[in-house]
Amino acid sequence: MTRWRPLRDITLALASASALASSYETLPGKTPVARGAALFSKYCSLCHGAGGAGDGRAASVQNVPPANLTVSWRSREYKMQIVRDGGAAVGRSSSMPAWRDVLTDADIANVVDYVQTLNTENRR
Amino acid sequence: MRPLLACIALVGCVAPAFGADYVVTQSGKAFSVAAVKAKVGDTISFRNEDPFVHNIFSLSDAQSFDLGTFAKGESRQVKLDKPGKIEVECAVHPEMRLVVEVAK
Repeated sequence: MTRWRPLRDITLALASASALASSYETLPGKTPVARGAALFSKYCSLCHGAGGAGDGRAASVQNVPPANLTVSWRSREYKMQIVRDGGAAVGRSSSMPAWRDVLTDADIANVVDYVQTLNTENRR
Repeated sequence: MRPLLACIALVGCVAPAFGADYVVTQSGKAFSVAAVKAKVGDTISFRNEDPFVHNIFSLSDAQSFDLGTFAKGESRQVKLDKPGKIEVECAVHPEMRLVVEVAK
């Protein structure tokens, strides 16, 4: 018979809740593309739009329009760099932030995994 | 002199020859104040005191702008051109919000 141990059970419940809260960004169990989609929705869609067409709600105030990711021919490595180091690092718009302080390398890889799926050229 | 001292005490602003300059810092992924009450012609200087980049933009009908992304220790300034309510956001940290009420 299992004896109820309130303190231990409460501790375990709190630990589980804490784990759920802290794993929100990484979404364990999801595919890299699904994790990237969640991150893209939170951080990138503001400028690039929900579908990546460069038509996010903040696109209208940018001096340089956000990239239309549905037609981007850039390599995966290039996309990794521009997300990690920002637009200015590759001679593009400085409006594109360097996300290395917000996203881990794994997060960035997941975002790029998702961005690759947005390219309509890749779907043909 | 008295209005200048009161201004500095409230939100860290200084009064140049034309309009006041309100200094809002960005620290700990938050603005130093939740709201600013200003007048047309005043300016707001945003100073990044975090060890990572921040961004400033607004899509408000009263005034929309994009001050871009800037690193630790850097500042960006916007002049308030029209009366109304301006909601200021950071593109890098979506949870950051600041409301600026601009009077005539």
